[in-house]
Amino acid sequence: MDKCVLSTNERAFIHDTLEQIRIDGRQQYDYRSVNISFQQEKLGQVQVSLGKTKVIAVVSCDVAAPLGDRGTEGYLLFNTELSPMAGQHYAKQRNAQSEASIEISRVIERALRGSGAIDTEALCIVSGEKVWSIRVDLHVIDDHGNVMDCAHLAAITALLHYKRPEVTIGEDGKVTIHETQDRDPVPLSVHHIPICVSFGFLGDGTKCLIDPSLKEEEMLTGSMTVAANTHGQICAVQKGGGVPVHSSQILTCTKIAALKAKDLTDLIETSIRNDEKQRKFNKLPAYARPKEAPVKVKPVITKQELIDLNEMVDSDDEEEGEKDVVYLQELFDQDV
Amino acid sequence: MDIDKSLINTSLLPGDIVGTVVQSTSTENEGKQQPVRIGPGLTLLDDTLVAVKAGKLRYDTLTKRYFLENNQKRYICAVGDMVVGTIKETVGESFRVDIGTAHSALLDVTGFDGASRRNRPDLFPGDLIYARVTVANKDLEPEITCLSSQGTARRDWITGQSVFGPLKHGFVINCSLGMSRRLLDPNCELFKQIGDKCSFEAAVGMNGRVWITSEDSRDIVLISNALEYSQHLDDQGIEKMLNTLFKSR
Repeated sequence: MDKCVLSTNERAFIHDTLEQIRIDGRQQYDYRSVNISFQQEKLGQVQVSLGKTKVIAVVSCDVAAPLGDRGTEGYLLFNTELSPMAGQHYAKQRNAQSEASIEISRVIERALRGSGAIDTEALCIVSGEKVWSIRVDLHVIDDHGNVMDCAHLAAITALLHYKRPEVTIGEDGKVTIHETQDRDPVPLSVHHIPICVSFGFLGDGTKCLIDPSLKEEEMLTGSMTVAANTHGQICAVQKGGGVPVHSSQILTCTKIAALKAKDLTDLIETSIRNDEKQRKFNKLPAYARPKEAPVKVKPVITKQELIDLNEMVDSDDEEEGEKDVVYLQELFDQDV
Repeated sequence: MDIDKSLINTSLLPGDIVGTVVQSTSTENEGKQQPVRIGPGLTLLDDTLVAVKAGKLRYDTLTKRYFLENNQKRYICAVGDMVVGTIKETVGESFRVDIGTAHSALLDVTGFDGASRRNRPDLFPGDLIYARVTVANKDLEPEITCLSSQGTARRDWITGQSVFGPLKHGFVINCSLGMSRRLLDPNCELFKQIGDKCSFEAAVGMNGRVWITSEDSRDIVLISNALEYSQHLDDQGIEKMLNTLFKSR
């Protein structure tokens, strides 16, 4: 099955109206609406929708042995899943990864780990022996164009949202990983927030669009992704083949990417702050809970009953004492 | 057949049991038992009537049958459906057309009104056509034709007035199958409401594709967006949405 079969009518229409407006009403450098939602129970699970494109990012951690020559660095791994749920054209992957999913994983990895955005040295537990391995799984659940940007937004938001378990090292060198109930989990060390901005080139490479939708993506002759942060620093650039683009055009794109990165970073930070407030309000288990109070055991016999029994037994009158013995004997006889 | 009537107009999931076959031995009941007619989305498995799609159980008083009204995006061919297709290639004496099904459909080169071997439309890969399905079988490639059906007027393809045939200019939007069925409903107000704002021409395909054209290309953009948004809005919302969209016109 093909991804998107565009008729000549559609191609001509998209091309002609591009002078004034894009087919969904956007201008040349407009993003579609971004919606970020967090999973309620767990930290580090985010769903981001960019227009109709939807990606879910899930962050998990594990303890692993570090690589030989990098004993103090932890792992930061990205895995992208492009299943037939994302689109009819994605066949069930026979070999582990398809080209598209590998490209997405690699670009996000370069933008986040290669640029030093996520500090891998801070993931060290015991130098040369134990390090944290943070794994980000990206599930593309709907592909309506520009999966790259959407996946990256989901990845960085999930990593900012995620908190890993607290670790303490005892005097004897014993490493203890604390449960979330015992100690507050700790956020990851993030130095800056890179944002991927994808550009699409049409025709001979002179016309440029931001955030192409499904039908526009089908018409592109070339594409480029620039990862930039709010400080205007370029973290990664990816241009895999396609129409050759003039260097001045590339510089313009990097400047636009820096501007867009600012807006998107504000959006991410606002949504994370709102989620924190919501969790505090709902008293969700994102913070350590105190150990539960011990359960009170109900006594089998009440205090008054015990006093009465003692009085009966301690009485001076022998007759009464014998009577009591008889009384108790009668009780035993009754039971039999 | 004993159908659970309380389930009508409720949402069902695949696997839900709708009714069971009642085995009655008494002779007086045999005469009263009327056959129950079922439509799409329901199937008889051994003795139980089971839903095979997700949707709402409906009873159609016209055809007197129970069926499941579902909404999905993936189109599965059915004979008689009108579809909007894109020519992919010419294979011998037929065109291979993409209509959104798993396999592309075949359109005979002479499958147009008034067409013969010498007199036939020149169609190239990428051209849009409006056709109807003639063969739809899960084991065969679907087949479509642009010949007029029993109910439609017969006009030669040369005149350009025929119902089925090539579609010139315009734009295509993709929508869910439920949406296209809604648009084809004679009671649908949406096209009338849009028609009040601007003039346009549309061809609705049961395969979830709607072709729209108008004189002004900005109008086409507005209409295609109006149809996309109206999928998830109720009547009041649609009215508001149309007013907002066409305000800038």
